[in-house]
Amino acid sequence: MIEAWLTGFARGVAAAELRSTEACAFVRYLERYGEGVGRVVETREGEHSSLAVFDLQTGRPQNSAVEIETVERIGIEFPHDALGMPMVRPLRANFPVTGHQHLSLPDRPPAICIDERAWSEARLTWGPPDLLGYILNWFRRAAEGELHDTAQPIDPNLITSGVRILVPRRLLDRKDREPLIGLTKGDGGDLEIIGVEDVREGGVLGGMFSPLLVTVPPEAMTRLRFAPGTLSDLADFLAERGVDLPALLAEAFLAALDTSPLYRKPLVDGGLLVLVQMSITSGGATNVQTIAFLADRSLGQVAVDLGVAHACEPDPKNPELVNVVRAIGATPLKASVLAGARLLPCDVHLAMDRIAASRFAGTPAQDARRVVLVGAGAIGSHLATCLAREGRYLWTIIDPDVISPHNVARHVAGHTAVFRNKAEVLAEHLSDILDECDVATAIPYDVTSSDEGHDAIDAVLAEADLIIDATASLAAARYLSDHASSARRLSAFFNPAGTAVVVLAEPADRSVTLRDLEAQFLQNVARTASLEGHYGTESDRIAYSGGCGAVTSVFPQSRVAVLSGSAAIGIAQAAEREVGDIRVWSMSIGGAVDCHAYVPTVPTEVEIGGWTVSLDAIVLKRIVALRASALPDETGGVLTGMVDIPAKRLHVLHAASPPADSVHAPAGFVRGTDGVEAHLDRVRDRTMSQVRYLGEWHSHPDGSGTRPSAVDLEQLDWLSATLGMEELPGLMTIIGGYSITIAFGPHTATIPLPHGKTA
Amino acid sequence: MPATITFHPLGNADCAVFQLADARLAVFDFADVRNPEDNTDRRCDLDAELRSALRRAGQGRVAVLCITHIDDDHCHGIGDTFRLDHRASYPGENRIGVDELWVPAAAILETGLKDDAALVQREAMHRLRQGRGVRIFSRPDPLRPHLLGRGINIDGKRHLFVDAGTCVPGFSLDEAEGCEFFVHSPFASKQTDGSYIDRNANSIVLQAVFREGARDSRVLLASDVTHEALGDIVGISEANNNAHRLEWDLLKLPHHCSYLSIGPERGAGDKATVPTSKTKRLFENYRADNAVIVSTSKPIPEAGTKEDRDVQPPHRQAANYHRSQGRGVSFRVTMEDPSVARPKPFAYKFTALGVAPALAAPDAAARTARSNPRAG
Repeated sequence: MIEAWLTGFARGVAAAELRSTEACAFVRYLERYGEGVGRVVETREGEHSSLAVFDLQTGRPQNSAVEIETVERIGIEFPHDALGMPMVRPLRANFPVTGHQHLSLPDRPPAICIDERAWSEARLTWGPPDLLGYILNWFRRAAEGELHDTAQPIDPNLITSGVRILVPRRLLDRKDREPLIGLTKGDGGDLEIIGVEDVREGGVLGGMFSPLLVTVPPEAMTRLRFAPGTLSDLADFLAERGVDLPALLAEAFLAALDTSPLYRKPLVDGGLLVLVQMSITSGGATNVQTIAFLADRSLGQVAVDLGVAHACEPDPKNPELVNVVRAIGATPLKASVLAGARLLPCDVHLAMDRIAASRFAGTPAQDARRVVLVGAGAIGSHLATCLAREGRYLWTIIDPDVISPHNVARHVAGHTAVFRNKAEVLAEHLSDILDECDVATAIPYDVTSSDEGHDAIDAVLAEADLIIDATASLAAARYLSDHASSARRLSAFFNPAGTAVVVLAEPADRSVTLRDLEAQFLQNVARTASLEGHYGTESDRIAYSGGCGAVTSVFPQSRVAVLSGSAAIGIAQAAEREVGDIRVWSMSIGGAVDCHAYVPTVPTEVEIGGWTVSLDAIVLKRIVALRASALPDETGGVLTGMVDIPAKRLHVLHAASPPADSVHAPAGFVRGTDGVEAHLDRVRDRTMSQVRYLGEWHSHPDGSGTRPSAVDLEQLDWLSATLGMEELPGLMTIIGGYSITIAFGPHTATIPLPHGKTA
Repeated sequence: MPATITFHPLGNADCAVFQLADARLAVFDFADVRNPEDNTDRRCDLDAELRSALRRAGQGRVAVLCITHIDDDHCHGIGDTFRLDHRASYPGENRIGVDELWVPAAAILETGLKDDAALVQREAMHRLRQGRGVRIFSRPDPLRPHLLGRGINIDGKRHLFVDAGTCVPGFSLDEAEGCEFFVHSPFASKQTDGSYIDRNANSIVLQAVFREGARDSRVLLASDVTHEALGDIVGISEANNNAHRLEWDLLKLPHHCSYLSIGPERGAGDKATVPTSKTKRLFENYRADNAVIVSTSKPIPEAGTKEDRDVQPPHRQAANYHRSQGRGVSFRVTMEDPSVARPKPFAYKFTALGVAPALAAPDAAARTARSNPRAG
């Protein structure tokens, strides 16, 4: 075959005389510089291309993965038309079948695919050293076994008819063998395969095709090397792999006759499309590849060719009737009768489903955990879109609001969605991303409501694997934190100025709740330099309708997109780990983003007088240390933290050091005032009043226990009066050598220290 | 980066340069024999090649200079290229420093040496005196009287001696350099008599092993030894459970493809030299599949030519023997590659898949990176 092919090129044409200037340049380069890599054997001239034949040093290592030789004879076909791609053809009859070879016509040597770029791109920087370098690189990869990548498509995308076929993976995988149908898609030149059950009532308009799915049993790396030009060629190829194509075609024809009249005609008279599904096995991994061929005739005509049907005249009164009838009792003839049925190779595109989405996003495995997203506003809609495009999660979206015109400024929805429910709009948007039926559902009610939608919401929260709060509402986040569901909670929200986004993630065991995370995040805002401006600046505000609450802030979509993307990363990563996370991304005016992460700690929680008091681990550690450093004297200071008055919850986040003017003694402590006001003002300002003064702490020396002394009780009265102004009980914390006592109005609770006396 | 070996077209003369996995260079023999006055001389400018290799490897000196024996075709011109410590006042700051000089005991024992061979001897003696930067391939004791006579007491310098049957200290398969050098020859027993020295039998013969990933590639560097010496090496290694030290993936042929390194009879006409039972085992049984044989020699003569009748190697019958081996063997000749008209250095790399030719498509960037263009 190689010799026959070579005779199509005239011999004895000098290199300088070749019509292709690229061929001249390449031969000149090899002769002048490339002698150690390739030795020119001859140059030839063909009708459409110039041919340079040379012996290539392949660089083959001793243990090559494929049977290439140390020296291989190579012919490069340079088309006379410079826009045509040079084809690199090994000129050895038994050159091995590898990956990265073009699907070649049977009458010519195979061609190796040395460059994955489109030739229109590659030619811009093309030069002889590049061409030689790419060829060497192909042989290096072949020798190292890198071409045996099961992810590589069987048929390279460079030599097909250009017809694209969209195929949902689920149709290829399904077992029921319901008929498939092909419809034109896009501008009419491309096809889409659907199941007949998806054919709309009343049928479809436009051209229809009759797909036949053929599954080739798994085999080890026997790729299709030559594109079959006819149904007969394809039948031969399949016969070698144990598949009887004529029988399958006859069977498909009979099945098509038996289908519902709704799609009988397209299945019999529509163009035949053969989809070949092959499992390629290499190194223990199996990858299924699908290739497709469009025939120049219908399944009915093929059945006539095979002798299992007779053609009949079309009935003009009944255009719905098919134009062939079954030949009773006939068996299909040999495949050679199909030699006249020409095939057009097509590009198969698998539809974007969850598996594909995960693969393109590089996520380790498809993640179909059930996620309830509460809040379908700016951040919720963007982060759900990011995560759904990465193939993540089955979504239930809860939001009672409708889209207002001003929402469109930073939402995935557009103008036409105005006044529609946000949850429903987002669920539709997410469902449209993937070719899956279960991407998202909506519940258009308030998550905290006690009437409408309550049962449905409780049911989905109970069933959920993850609950993501994107409400930007403290009340909703706390409601979700306290809900009976055992699902892990996460929360994402922007700061008011739109310069930062925060992700809070509970650990998988929920030992730290969303409430605790919120408190610890705020404590970081109050204390750490990197978050100093988190609540510091406010953006301009704009009224969007009449009411005085109807204001929104200036917050451009570009920032929403970046920060929501960061939040999506944070949520996805946190959801893949067991530990909890507090993470803040802050963006500069110029667009640079900083990320700060804080490790959540498990607080100590006590019930006192109908209140729940949480003491952060860091507070405990700090007062133990401050006490030890002051011994034998007492010491103390002010406490700050968060309150939730309706929920009767109090979270102590910080114990300040003693002011400089305090008086310390072994039997008493008088807390000074130096700097106290400034400290409390700063904490309040930095946290938008969310962290506040809560009470006092002081230490008792060794041997004194932690019961409030007479002096302490007096102070407690004072505290109760002071904090009572704000409907809060006075909080006093006494630290001793072995325990901590929390006095809360008239109530006390004592917590033993974990390791007894801590110095 | 996998280690590489580069061979140079030097006629019937030797120089193989290893670049180790840690980028250091080890030079095995160095015969810069090209005549710069003669522009028809096709042999390469070895000094320039070595400097270029150092530059590409980012190295200022060579880690090892091994002179396998002190014939001129193995050490010609070393005084011009390398900085020799024994002549500190000699001008030539630009010469290349040598961390370790490796020589056989014969290089110490021989007397009446001239030219470059004398330089090698003086440098080895100087370094031995200093107690560093040299390895003498011998057992120390047979050299004791000879060295004492020259004022060198070897006590305290025994670590500078490397005996056959061991690996050269300082190189490990598991460290960054990823290589080791097993010494086959010279045998210490051979130099007891200093009055007559057969240089080739007292040559350094090594098995160099290079590890890349899970693969060890073995290179046999056979200096100029004869079939008798090779037979001894095979016999001793087999007797000492060191048969695996005879295995090779790449062989530098001994003595420029001489029949005497295969067997006693050259063979007539188009015949192949017949090996002895021991050299047959070495060249055939201990050879890996798809192995490489490199003849550091002039082109293999055509039948009937004057060169074909010459007693000097290369011998066509010896080449016939090596070429006929099958199992994917490659046979390359330094003065024939890529062409007799324009021989160039060539290299192999020691990859995780074994020995592979090191190839690159020559391009302008690589060219400019290897040259020092000047403008006036």
